[in-house]
Amino acid sequence: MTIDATAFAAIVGADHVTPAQAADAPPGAMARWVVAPGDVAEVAAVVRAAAAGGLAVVPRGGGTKLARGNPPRRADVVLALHRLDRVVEHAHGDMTATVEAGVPLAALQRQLARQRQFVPLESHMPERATVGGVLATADSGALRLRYGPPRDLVLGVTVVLADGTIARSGGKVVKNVAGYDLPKLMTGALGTLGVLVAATLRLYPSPEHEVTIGLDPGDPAALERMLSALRAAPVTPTAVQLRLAAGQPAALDVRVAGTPAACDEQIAAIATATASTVTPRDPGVWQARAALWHEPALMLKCTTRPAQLGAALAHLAALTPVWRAVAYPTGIIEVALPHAASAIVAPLRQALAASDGAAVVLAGGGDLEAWGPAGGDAAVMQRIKQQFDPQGVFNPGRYLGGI
Amino acid sequence: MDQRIIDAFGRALGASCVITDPMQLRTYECDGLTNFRVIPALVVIPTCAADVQAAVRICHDERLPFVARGAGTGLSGGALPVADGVVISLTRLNRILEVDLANECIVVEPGVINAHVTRHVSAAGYFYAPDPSSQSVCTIGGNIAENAGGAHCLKYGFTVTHVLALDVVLPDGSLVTLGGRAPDRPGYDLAGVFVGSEGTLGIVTRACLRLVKRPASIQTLLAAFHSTDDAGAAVGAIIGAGILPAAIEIMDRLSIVAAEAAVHAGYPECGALLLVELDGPASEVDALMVRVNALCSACGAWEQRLAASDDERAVVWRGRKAAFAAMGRISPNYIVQDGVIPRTALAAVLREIHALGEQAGLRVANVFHAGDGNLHPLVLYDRKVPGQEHAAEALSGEILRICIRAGGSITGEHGVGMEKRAFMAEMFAEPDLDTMQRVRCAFDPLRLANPDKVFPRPRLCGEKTGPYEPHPLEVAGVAEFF
Repeated sequence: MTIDATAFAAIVGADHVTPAQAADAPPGAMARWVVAPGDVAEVAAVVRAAAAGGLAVVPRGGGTKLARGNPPRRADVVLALHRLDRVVEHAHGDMTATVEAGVPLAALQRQLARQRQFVPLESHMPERATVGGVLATADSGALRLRYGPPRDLVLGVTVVLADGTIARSGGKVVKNVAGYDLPKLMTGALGTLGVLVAATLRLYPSPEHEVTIGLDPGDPAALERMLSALRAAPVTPTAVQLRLAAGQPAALDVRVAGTPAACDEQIAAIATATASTVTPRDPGVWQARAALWHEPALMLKCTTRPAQLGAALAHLAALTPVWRAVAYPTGIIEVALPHAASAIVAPLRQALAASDGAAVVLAGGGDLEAWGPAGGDAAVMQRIKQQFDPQGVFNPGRYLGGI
Repeated sequence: MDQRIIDAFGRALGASCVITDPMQLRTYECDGLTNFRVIPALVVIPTCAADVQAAVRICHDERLPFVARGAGTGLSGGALPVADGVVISLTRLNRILEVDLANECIVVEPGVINAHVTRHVSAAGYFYAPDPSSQSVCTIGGNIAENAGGAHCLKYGFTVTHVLALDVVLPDGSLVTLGGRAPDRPGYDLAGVFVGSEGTLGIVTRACLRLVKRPASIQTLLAAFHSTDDAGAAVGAIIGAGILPAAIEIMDRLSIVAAEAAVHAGYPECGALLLVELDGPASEVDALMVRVNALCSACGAWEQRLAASDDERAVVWRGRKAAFAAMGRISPNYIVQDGVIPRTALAAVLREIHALGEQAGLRVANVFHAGDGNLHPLVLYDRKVPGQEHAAEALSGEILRICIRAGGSITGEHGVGMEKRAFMAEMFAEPDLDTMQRVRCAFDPLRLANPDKVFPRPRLCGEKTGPYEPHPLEVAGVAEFF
């Protein structure tokens, strides 16, 4: 069956089908149309039509992470989800929110803030980045230390599968073990198993009082000591990050929250544990990760066991003279490199593998394979893809191991 | 079972690890849910991961269904054997393999008892957060299969939050590692989906668990109220004030009486007891406890006691954790339920449960994790009274339906197992269940691993699914999503 724009226009209306430009699809792929459905039923109908016509579909939220993964083998239809932008329910008494996938993260936070709540999800460009996109890419930042990775915040999802099935799993309550935990499977799957169209999220109360302080660790050995002292100290910071650049001393930022007295107590404990002076810092320092993205660069996400963070940074520094990074004690380093530095990715992967880690290309990778080698569980992942999307409708070739 | 197959297990594992004696097999006929009983054809007790793998390979080659079993404390019949199948008992895989405090994790075998993990690292100032009430006997492998919770998961999360990596024997006998000690391994979160799969996707042979630093200060408050409505209102007020307690539990009058009779925790005699535990930096805990006290008073608490020392706290928790077993003191038989509701629906749902109990002429005790809306109604009955068991089962089912209608779940931590299979079709629509089956088919296309659990009527792998049909709740306009 041949499918053309009129078939999609019949589903979503002619106004919501546009010819695709180069910037609409992931780098290295060319799409034919951008189709913007207005509700979940339309998403299902578009997917069904595309699948019937043998077309490939690239789900897209705000388009801030289009460069994730390898260039898809095909990208006929960009499924734009920005019209699915309703906050369906903010159950503030239950500290949950059910939202459509196309809600921009910043807009959601503004709405939640009216009840002094927030969802501990983070992304660069939060005005554009959508909840669906943040979940599909499992993006995280400094808040992860305290609130966990995105998957721990997703209570339920609604997905549209490649055959048009609309499936829900999980639920609206914070505790639920009925059936398989598909929200876990969908979070970080980069839309390769289904289109995430709605999610129920766990919320937290906005801290009433927060203080950001800075520590200056100086040389790398001192940094290592400071991080391990901070880990062992009787404190629970809500965010910790390291700002790093080649040839400059590292800056360590810590945020504590709670009652003013408790904040003071934690700051004193941090000073004692790290045997270091602490200085107040402007909360603007938490924009450091977003700032990494201001200029086009080769962006990497490096991971390591938390205690090997210092060693991973040393590997990085030894491989390239020019780099900037923001690192988290959870064992994640987001790195900005000159495009010309792509040759370091292979040796970096080798070094990180020794501590279970990986170096994933987030953007600007050109011909670089984005994910690195697949593990011993690759066959199970292939079988899951086969079960969910046997035709390869969604993002074919964009994910790990050619999925 | 065919002697040839029994011999194959004997050769692979050693004869001492294979049980065929009918009397001994009977030991495995049920788990903590004793009203389902099936005697398995064979029980094997491997002593290492390689033997688990060997046993599963034989099952795979012979197309024998197998059921993994830990301590057998599960409350949903998840470890119920299959009559012509094999039970693989993991209790001998009980070693703590590695403690890695620098990375705040510990590597254990599945037969390690939950409480032993914390005991092993407490001197270093760490603990393992998931704390099901059976923690002094239940095993990590079972906790992983059920995604076990406990009183402290309100703040610290469930088992899945604390599993970093798993070695798993898949139903075809292959051994794979899922997840890792570094965060965000590229690819699907298979460890995340494996946790809570109730033994239907494979058998864990080794787990890397996250450890949590013990908070600087812990305080536990007991507040006495006239009614569960008042105690529930206090929970709402505390959470509404932006306070996230480490645990917040309610016991109603019946369960207080039972717990007192069983362990003499020294609870006040009241209509409802609220237990609030705060932890964190000392000054924060002190300041927040003052606010919690005020909120409880405002909601009608007529007595508040602070358990400040470790010993006092242990006594308070002993009463709470013994509550299920304590029902034996006030009733010959009882059914434990495990429904979840949005916390704000608490008062209304409790009233509905109470009314149903009166209608059925049965007492229902209530113990619950109030912070996350996880109810454990205990339906009390006497098997010897004709018709009562049936009435109790019917009432127990109706309670689950109330939870579904309130937008909740049929299980918060005990699992679906054998017991609640039929209710899956009431909570989820056909396409939802079919989608879960896709995961099953990827891991276990022959459906050998704990077959016939969790799902009401699993489609065969490769079977075509029908087109989308709206969920009955959606048609009724009750739910738009889920």
